[in-house]
Amino acid sequence: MAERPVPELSPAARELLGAFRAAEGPGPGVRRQHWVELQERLDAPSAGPSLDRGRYYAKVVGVTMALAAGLLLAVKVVGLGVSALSTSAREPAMEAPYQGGAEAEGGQAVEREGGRSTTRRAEARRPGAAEPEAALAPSEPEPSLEAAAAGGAAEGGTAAVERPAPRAARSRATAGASAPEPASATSDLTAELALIKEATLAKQGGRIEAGLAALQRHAQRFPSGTLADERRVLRAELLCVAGRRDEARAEARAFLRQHAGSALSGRMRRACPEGG
Amino acid sequence: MPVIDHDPEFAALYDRHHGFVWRILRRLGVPPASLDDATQDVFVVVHRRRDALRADVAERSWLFGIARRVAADLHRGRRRTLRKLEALPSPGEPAAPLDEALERAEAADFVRAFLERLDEGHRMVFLLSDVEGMTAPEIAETLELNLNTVYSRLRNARKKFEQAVARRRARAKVAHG
Repeated sequence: MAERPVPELSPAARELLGAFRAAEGPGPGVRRQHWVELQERLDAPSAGPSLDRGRYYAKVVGVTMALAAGLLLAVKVVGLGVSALSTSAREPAMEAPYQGGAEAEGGQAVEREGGRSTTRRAEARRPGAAEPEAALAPSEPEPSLEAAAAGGAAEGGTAAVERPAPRAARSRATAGASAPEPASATSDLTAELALIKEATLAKQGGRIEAGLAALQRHAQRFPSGTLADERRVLRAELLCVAGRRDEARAEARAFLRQHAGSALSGRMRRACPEGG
Repeated sequence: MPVIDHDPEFAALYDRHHGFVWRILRRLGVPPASLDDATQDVFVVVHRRRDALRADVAERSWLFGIARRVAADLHRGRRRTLRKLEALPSPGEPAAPLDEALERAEAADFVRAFLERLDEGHRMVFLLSDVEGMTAPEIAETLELNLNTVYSRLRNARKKFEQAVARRRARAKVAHG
């Protein structure tokens, strides 16, 4: 089917669109500047926005997961403690109302019928029974979080190696040793955040030396910390404000060479612009 | 030694399409402060994946796809909605052009205001055709539209634009006696 022809634009309309096109464009100066910056980025060994940005997001996801895991672990520990105290203090008949009427009735029915799957649930409430922990294990949140964290942090494939490790065996073998690890990671991150925040606030308040000192402490404690990139950007910004522009620009150039496509690269480029 | 100095094809592609990428990112709602980074991001991807450019795909269609993804990433990352165009002086009260630059700026503002009133489907077809000079088949491929849909939207958009131009001219006559 023949399509109706599209009318040509009038000269006046074309002129307006030409003016719009010129006004929307970047201009030759911008194009040249982009070309130079693009060369620097492509020269860097790890050039590529999505790759570095992917690493950055993986880092963010990893940190979030670690925090969530730490929090859940703490909740679980507290919950188990409370549960152990209340279980030892109460008789099963006293506990039933807290579980809801239907479950209490179900428990009695199972005792009459025997052998059904709900038997375990009824027995699980009995103090001192051997099965409850094993029966409860699959519904615990911790293992699934661990698996998710391993998947998120190890895109390169290490998750596939680590994941098959038997969950129960791991939790039994390292029940005592594994608990401090998330807490340590969380406290490290908290300490890192505190130092970066201190430096940021110092920068905002014009206390340049205090900001640099906070970053120095961060560098000493966490040379390859999770927030090492943020530290470098902040340092360049602070050095620039302090008038140490050559150092700031050297820091920026080194960072951009190493992390050309980083999500922080734009900020780093503006940290101490030439002629600024 | 810069890597891309050895790649004249990439340099030529950059020269040909830098403006196109910039304008498209801008039309896709990338805020002015992020245009530098976003434009470079597009060309970094282009450089890395230039071998994937198939002979049967128009360069600008391919670039548009990359630009759209970069813009979407940016919006997701920053949780920003598409940037609204700046508040514009009413086309009904055009400022008296003091010089050519002012006249051009006023003309550009008029087009921006018109585009703002168009719906997204018509706007992008109109832009790609009448600002960027793409052919209807190229636009159909770029926006994954039926060719007849492209023609239909272009016809409608041009008609509306000509009407707006005529109104502007009439108002200018009234304003200047």
